Amino acid sequence: MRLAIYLLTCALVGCGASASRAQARGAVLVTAEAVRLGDKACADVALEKNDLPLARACETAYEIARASVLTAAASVDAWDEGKKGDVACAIKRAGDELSKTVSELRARQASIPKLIEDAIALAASTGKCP
Amino acid sequence: MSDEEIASPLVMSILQALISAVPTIGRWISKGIEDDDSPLAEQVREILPEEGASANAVRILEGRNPP
Repeated sequence: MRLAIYLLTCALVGCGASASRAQARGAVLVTAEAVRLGDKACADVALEKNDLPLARACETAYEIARASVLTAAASVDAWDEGKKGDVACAIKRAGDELSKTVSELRARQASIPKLIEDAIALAASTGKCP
Repeated sequence: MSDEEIASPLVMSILQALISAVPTIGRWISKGIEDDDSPLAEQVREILPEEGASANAVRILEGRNPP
């Protein structure tokens, strides 16, 4: 709740140096939740359609996205203002893998939860990746 | 009735209330630590277990369709 208020304040009136850590933290948590949701949606569709290639594709995307989100989270835990690009890069990698899952699901006419679409947009706009 | 006789049940009831509140206070303290101080990486590990739902689906589907 405090994080949501902080991010809202940040969006409305601008933020100082510590705000970038708060934004990174928010992006990590939203991306993690979206990766979990995408993986679950993929598993449901794969089981329903008896689609082993889909399940395998999503398993690979999940593993890479999870590793990327964990890297981003570790960077936030050991926050260094000068290395915030590392977080952005890791979040972007997770967003790319999430996009692959979404493409696989769209190809099978599955609906995509809004949280996933928003997380992909957020990952693409999270700071500069050097 | 002396002051001691009046105070004693009061002290006892306060002590009983405090003892009965220990589990609740303990939960508040542990919840507070969990919400505010747990490293982000730990929170992410809780959201994203090592084996995801699709890995589980792969196992189930391989069982349904053996090579």
